[in-house]
Amino acid sequence: MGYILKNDVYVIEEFSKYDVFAGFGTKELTLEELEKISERVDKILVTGTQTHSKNIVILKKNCPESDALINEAPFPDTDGLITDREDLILYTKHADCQGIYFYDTINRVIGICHSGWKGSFQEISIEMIKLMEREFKSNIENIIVGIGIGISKEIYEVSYDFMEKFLKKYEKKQLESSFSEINGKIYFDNEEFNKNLLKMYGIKEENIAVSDQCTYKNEGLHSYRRDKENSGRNLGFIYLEGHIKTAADIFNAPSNEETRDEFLRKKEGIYRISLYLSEIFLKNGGETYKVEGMVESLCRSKGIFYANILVTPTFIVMGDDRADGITFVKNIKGRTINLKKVELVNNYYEELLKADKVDFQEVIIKLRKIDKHREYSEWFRVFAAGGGAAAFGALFDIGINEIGLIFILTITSVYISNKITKLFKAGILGVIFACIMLGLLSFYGAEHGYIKSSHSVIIGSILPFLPGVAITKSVIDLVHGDYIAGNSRAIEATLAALSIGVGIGLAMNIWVRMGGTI
Amino acid sequence: MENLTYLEHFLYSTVGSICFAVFLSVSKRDILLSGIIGGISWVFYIFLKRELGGIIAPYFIATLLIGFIGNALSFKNKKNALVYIIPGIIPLVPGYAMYYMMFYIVNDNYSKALESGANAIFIALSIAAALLIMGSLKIISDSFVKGLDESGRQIIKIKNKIVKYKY
Repeated sequence: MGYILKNDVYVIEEFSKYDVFAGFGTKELTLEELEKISERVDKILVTGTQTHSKNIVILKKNCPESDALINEAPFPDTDGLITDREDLILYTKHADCQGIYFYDTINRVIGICHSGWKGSFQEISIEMIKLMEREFKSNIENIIVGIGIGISKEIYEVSYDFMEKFLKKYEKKQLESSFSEINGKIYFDNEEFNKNLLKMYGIKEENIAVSDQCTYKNEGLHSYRRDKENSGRNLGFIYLEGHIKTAADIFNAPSNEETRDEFLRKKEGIYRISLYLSEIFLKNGGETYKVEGMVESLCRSKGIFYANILVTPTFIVMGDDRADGITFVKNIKGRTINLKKVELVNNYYEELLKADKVDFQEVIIKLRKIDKHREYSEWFRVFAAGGGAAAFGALFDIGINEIGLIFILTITSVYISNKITKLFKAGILGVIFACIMLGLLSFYGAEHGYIKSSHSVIIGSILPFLPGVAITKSVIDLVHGDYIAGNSRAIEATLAALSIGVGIGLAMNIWVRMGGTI
Repeated sequence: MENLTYLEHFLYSTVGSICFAVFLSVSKRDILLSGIIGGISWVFYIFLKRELGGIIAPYFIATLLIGFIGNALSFKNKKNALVYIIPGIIPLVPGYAMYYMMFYIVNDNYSKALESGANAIFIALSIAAALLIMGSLKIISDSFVKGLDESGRQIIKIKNKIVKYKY
């Protein structure tokens, strides 16, 4: 029993028995590493700004009167922390100073304090136990204490005045084991001093864990006396591991305020929102890679760190790898290009990201509204396609008759292909049919002398069907490593090109077989 | 195509790009801008075609320009790059090469048909390659400027309530 080194952390075995993680970090455990741990176990890091005081902050669960004091960590002028919340990691910073860990095995209350000689002199450890007794009705017999790693008595040389100070406050008998005199030099044993204090207050000796390490002698630890100003800080931290013990569940523990049901409902709501959001985004021409980034950020911002989403142009799968994992699958049908909706969804997503609380019903209603949004009426869009085709046809230096015909043909063909696509749910069929029609009509026009040549008319009229969008998006997806989506889009582009070719080719064939010339 | 002046090219292609922007439901605020991008890139393409000749280079360089302007604007306005890129790309997509391929196939002129088909493929590939380059540059610039990773994820700190009770 005692301290065991596991992955850069000295873990107190006695605490682990009770599902409490009490650790003292080596040099390798920087604050960033601790943040990673906190992210993995889905808990919040809390600390105080240490000033060698005996001020203690208590973080109670369901404590309404303190709700006003939110988000003030690190708490100023604070050397001790006590909580019964399971969503927190309490940590303190040490270089030679002792960290002392507390745990009430019955009420599941944890505490940690920073106790240098000043803290020990002010008896912060006793103060911690007193507060646990007062605020959490802890019984002293159920409290276990771990005295962290500090500087050992062979190194900690102090002055005579230092000892005087203690002698004034305590009886000589009490200090006998804490001070030693070797070759005229006085040494102080902070660990022993604290242990004595605790024992005198009523903690049983077998409930106190001590270490055999020393921050000065152990090169793996920071020591202020050894490294002077260059010294970093060792991090002592403690958290409740929760009663769910399986490895998969430990990272999935809901915070104290919400029950498991509420958490699951929240998760489901967020997944539904994410799915709907990505569906609208994807259906209207958003980039695949962006959808994945969006959903991941959204889930993270709402406290779910493990959501996975797989996006392809034809379906979306969303779920996670937890024991209570839920999975949603969505088939995407009828892709069009509506860049305004993409923009609206993007803006709304940014809004959601910043929102603290999300009302799922409200969000779904808002998304439905976006889904129904129309920037331009259907007819206006069709006419615009005609105008665009005519304007680009004009670049071929053609007469007014040809331009007019391009305008009319494009409008009719876009309209017809839209109708067919809607009717049969097959985009290719609509394009083929529209191309046959516009080919035949322009050949007819050329034959009867309305236009000089059918070539430029057809080239102009097929412009809206060309797979420029699909090519662009395919490349964008491929660049971002989305090979499934990129390949599907490339196939989409090829098929679109092919169907135009088939349509025009059929029209020519029919026209030639009917006896016409091109 | 050869007889028109650059101004005429610019006017026609800008109007055309605006129309296509409407067709693709680009937001009302952005249609003018994306139309002008389309116009500029088309004029640039015509200029390159007249000066350089060849098939691939004009498309490639013109698409680079579209990609650059589009990505830069999307970065500045925090909008989807597609809004600015697609109306510019549409006139460049090799519709006429595809048409002539079909035309020659129907007329049993297979060597000409193959030539047109190869043209169409090369043009499409050069557009894709240019977009590829600009897209990659965008990823690099994003990671430098915004701290985004390759799939556009942002690191967000969660706000959490901490109940404080101090003595």
